[in-house]
Amino acid sequence: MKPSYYNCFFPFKTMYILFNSLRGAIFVVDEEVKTVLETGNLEALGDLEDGFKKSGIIVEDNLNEQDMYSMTYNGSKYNALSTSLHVITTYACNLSCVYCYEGKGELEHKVMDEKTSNRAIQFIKDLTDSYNSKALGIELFGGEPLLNMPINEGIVGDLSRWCEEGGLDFSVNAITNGTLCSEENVETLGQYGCSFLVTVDGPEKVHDQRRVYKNGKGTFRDIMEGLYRIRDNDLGTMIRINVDEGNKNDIVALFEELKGGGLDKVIISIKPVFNTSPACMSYGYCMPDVEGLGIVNELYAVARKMGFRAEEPERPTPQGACSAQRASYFTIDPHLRLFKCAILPPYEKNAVGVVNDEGRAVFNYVNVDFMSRDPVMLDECRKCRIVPVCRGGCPAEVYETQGTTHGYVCRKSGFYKMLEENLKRFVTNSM
Amino acid sequence: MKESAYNVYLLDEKEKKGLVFNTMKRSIVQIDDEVYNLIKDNQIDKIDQDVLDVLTKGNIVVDNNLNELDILKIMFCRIKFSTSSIGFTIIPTHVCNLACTYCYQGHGDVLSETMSQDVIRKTVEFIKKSAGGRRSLGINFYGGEPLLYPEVIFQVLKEVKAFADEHEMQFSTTFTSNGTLFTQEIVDRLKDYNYEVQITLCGPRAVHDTIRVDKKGRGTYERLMDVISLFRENDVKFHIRVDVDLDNYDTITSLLEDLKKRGFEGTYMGFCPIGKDICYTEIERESSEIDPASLARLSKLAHDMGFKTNPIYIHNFVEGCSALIDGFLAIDPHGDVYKCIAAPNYQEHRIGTLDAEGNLTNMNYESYCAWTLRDPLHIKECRECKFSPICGGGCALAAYSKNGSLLSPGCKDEELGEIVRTFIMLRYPELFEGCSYETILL
Repeated sequence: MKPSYYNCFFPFKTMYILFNSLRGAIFVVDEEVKTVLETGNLEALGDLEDGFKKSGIIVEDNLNEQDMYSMTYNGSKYNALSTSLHVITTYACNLSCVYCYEGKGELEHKVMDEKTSNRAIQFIKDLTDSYNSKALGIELFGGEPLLNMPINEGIVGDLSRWCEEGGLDFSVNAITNGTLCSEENVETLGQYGCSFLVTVDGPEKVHDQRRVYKNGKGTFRDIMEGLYRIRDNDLGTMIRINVDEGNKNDIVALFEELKGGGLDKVIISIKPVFNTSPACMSYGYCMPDVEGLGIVNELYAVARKMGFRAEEPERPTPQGACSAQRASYFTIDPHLRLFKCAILPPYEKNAVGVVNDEGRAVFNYVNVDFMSRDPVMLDECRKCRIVPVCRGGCPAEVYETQGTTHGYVCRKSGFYKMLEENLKRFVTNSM
Repeated sequence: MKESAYNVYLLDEKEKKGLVFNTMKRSIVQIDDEVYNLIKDNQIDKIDQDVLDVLTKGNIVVDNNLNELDILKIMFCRIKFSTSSIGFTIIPTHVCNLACTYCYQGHGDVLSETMSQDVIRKTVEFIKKSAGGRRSLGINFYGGEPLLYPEVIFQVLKEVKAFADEHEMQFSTTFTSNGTLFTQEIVDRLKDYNYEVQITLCGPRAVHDTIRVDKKGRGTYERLMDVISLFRENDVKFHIRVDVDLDNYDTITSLLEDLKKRGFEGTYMGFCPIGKDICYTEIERESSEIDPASLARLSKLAHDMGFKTNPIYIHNFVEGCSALIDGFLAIDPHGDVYKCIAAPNYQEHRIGTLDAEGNLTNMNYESYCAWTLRDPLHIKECRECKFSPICGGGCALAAYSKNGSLLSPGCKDEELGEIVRTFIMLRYPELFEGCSYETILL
């Protein structure tokens, strides 16, 4: 046996947290055990050997753990038990948010019509069938998807019936700015069990400086009305908060407002605004790497403490490929172009293919580039001890900045810090 | 645009015509000398747009930015890691009631264990634990001769089928059997298990009965003819594998004639070469391996005589080798688990063993990773080979036996070009009017 390459130690009080990034195992160990694992003198492990063996802290001499990770990573791409898509039913938007990476519905404003949505539906069914999936998940996306309700309902109704007939689980979520959550719209989508993801960027004063109507008027009050309607219809809500230099100190106030307003059942999702898309690179408030990851982490901790559910699991966990590399995932837009991630439209150069007049997908080399990415094949990532939790960064961001996904974005120092804080918090809470 | 790395050209010098087969896309396009020369001289932009469109559609020419090795990787990962189905080969016993002269397993005398109750229980638990979430579940029974222990088979089938029904999985089972032990009673008991049988013949009666014999040296041909009648009367799905080498090659025609005379036309016939690659015993038969072109001609013959067949059997063809697939495992009578059904005599290929609860433990990760990751991308020669997309690196176990490493090619040199030429000529005879096999150059 030998110590795993993926053992990481973090000081914790007088002890160390031992985290295995490949298998996700967490132990608290003393200096002596740490030394044993670092020097490889494993006979000294005694009683610990069995548990360490089971959880991958020590591994067979002949195991190449990089191969093992490569297998997990590539395997996850083709785990197609569920098929999922972001369906952009319109690029048009009624807002003009300051940081919009899609160009505020002005760069591109095409709307899905009945003909294109029928072809999209056929493509989605064929995709689901081709992978023999057991579940289908649809994310209505835009632009502002609720601007195109007849098409939304057509797609969701058709696919929901199709899944029921075929014995598949169906789920739908609307990613919306929240200003159009009228009683009618919420009820219409609610028939299909739709949940909602609504972005709120801070308390009223802060939010209304960023997420505004075309005339500059703030949206906060209207969104809150919508959130109450969703709640009163017993539908799930996730609040997305985009955090950057400009609002990072105002988020806790938003939590308090949500809680005070009876919206304590929502799930909190926090995203740092990094320079990932060309449309947002002109925006001057993006987060520096280390601080961005740190702030997100702290805010999640506060949210959990206040009784909210958080989108990210508290326990650090190794990950397979993200949805951008899953074979049974696409974003489809009103031109019927296909993308491997929802942050890549509307740019033509990011499209991996298009659904043609016969309803068949024709793919280009960008699809090949995304699907064949394997961080273990990159020297830096192959050497890295936390690659199973970091995965070499966001493939879409790598593609945007390097023209291929066969590269990496490294936020190692920020990532280590975040990992350390999460582990300490997790261990403290489980003690 | 650039020329695909996976083009195989077949050119007839006499008729000045030819075609190109793309092994990745499996497309065939007819081309003339001029187009061929333009592709080869890297002057693709000078090809007429109409022709270029066809070439592009068939991936004969591809985008300059396209890394075709990436496609190869995706193709193999997709085959390897598909999660919709899962399959297990169960070896209930290594024992066999026959003593075929070319048996690579030493007719059940080298390995001779049979599954105990304990191992049967572990195996069933393991299958249940592994199959969760899949849409279909397949069990193959292999041996030795699996039907020597029907109670093992029915115990496994009963429990696994109930599990599959409960979880709404499609269930199917296959038997790789010598066929001699099928009876009306067995067929009746199997009727609810969606099963298919493969039995093996080695020539007409006079030849078969010198090769596929029981422990006392008695032939099995007439017994198998009765079994085929039994299958047909009961609508049992089955197909016949014919093992061929140079010695029995010339007798296969009379085998086909006899089967036809008995009214068995329409049966699926697959022709396989008798090879020594993975033998772990000295076989008692001086056998010389048949070339793929001759083997392909047998398929053509069978087809013309009214049997169902594939134009060619490529040994361990991409779709044929289940060891490529992550969701495929073989369990031997000890409860040891392998990726390849022919590997249980090689301890170094054991990837783990089942514990009392049916968990895979005592893993040999080196073996597991080597088997699971094996594909042409990991083998230097295969990365550069235009036949990789159909061959998949060849038989892994043969590669290991020959070269001492799974990460080496398991193919036979120039064989694949011959296979492709034969395959295309047999399947698309109209493309070759006026040409002969010999005038078509690779």
